Amino acid sequence: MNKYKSGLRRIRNFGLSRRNFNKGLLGTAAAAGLATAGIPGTASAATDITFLGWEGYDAGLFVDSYLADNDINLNTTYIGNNDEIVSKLVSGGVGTIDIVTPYMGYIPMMVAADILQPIDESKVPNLSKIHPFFVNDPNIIVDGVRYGVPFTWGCAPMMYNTKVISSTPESWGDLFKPEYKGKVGMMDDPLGNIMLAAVIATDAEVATSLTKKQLDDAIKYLISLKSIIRLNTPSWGDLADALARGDVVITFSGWETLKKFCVDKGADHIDYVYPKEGTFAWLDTFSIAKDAPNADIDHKLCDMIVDVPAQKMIGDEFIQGITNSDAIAQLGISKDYYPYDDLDGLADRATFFAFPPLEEGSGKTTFNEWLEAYERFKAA
Amino acid sequence: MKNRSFLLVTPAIAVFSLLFVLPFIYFFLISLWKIKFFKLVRDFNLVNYEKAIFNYIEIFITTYSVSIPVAIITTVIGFYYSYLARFKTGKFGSLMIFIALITLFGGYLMKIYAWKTILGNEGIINSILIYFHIIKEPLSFLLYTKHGLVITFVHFLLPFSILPTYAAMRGVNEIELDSMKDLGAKFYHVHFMLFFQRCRTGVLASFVFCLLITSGDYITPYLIGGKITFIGNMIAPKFGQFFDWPGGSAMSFTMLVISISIILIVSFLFKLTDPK
Repeated sequence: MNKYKSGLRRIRNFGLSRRNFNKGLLGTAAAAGLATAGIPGTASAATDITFLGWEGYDAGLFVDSYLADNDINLNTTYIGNNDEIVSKLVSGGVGTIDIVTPYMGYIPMMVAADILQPIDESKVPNLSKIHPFFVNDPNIIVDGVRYGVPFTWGCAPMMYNTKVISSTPESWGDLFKPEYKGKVGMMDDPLGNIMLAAVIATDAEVATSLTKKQLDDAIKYLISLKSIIRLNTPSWGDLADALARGDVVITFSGWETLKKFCVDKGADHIDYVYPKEGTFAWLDTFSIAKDAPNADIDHKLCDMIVDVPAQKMIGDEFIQGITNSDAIAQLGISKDYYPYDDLDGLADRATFFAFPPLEEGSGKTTFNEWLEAYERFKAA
Repeated sequence: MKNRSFLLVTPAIAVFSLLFVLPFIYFFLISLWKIKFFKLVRDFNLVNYEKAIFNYIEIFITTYSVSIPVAIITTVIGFYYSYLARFKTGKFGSLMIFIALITLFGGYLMKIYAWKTILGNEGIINSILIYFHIIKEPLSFLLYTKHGLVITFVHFLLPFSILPTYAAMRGVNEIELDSMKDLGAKFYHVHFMLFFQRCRTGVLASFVFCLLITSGDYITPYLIGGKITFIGNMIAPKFGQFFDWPGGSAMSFTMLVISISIILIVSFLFKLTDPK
């Protein structure tokens, strides 16, 4: 199996840290300031680019003066989860929205729904600098056509408190040790949690291609977690908060950047590990909405987000995984938060899974069935 | 004159119709539809209501097992706070009401995070208890439990309880209370009369506010409740994450019917206290 051919990850309901939030605000303020600065002396009207994505994902577009130089206003709408991108596009957003930032597992579904337009690779020269681990994921390229530019990634490791847990956990089964009962945390992420439960508790070869029984087994596993978890948080920020405060000492699922979130909160004793059963990985992309009003500028922004300056900013300032090999080589301390030195080895520990089927008929459970099944876990 | 009165009330009716009645009708209609591939399909059926009732019955029970006690506790505390402010603290009564209302300026999320700081493992309460060697391990039942939820809700809702009960008490003359006492009324007679009869409207309004706000909330359960799920936690993602507006609408209307039923029952119980 080609390690670089993969599928995808979870819905990221994460709430950014206050630091990132402030940066988002600064970015917005900078956008407003730069745009305003560009207005005097010009007779032409500014171009409005509508951006729909995670808070902070727009920050890399302000590392140079391209937007200001070209009199471009970036109108941002931040999402709470990836589904908002789909729901906003299908409910009137097509034709008005330019850039969206879906995670790659959503792209085949969005292409099927006819709400994305192809990326013209000739207009995104920085694609050539993206590490092969990320650049040609099959979810991004549908029927030979590219629909996304992968710019940030991460995995779902187990987070743990090194003050309380002196020896590094090796297995997800460690969650059920009696000493951790009532001290386990998790994040309320339907897709990610079912995927990880499927990795741990089912015999499925692909964690997103589940039979009815495998899905039931995954949900049973999640329900069994309810007896040991203390909280199921709405965001990564809240999970980091609980880890830093000592309210939980170990987690089901996680995110490498949580370690940095905890350091920011004064807790440098939170670490992560990829347990032996494995986990899943995810990749977020810049994509262009169908009938985007400014397709040429949108392509330029897609190229900018994977250029070295923007990538370095995302890596060093936001402590998120980046994809540009040249930028990875130039990272500072943030390089330690992600396994950049062993991306090949990462494929053995974390897998990119394709999105669950959307339509019935394949003999596998559909995404809607997953969502309904997840509600059984919530209700249990 | 009549036409003039109607004209004066017309803007209010227009705003109410536009911002409440029409959306209400719209969401009721789509609660009878279904969703297919992120698009609404006008296929009238009651499946969403069937699911709302049978799939979420345990979550409705959890929701109301917290929101009813919260409404009762908050109303009782609010009532006695208002009683002290109205009849027992003289000129300081207004200051008490001011203090209660000023907490509204603190903001909702700030109160939630404040209680997380107070009740957490390394929070103020646990830190003090551990410092004085009263406990060895943090008390984990304080946060991410129903106890923590009730404490947070009661604190947040108290101003909403105090306002209507205090307003109702302003209509009660102190001479009436003194007369009752002079004629031999006991403490509980006075309070029964005040709570169930003279201030009934205010007390009921307090109960209704507290019940509706608590049962419809999903932020507090998310942040304070740990693994406790309220019906709001299931409804919210229906409108965003899952794009299942029909399902979310049906669940919302089911919740509304349950809440109104509880309010009618409480109102009926209050009426039973009317003097024969």
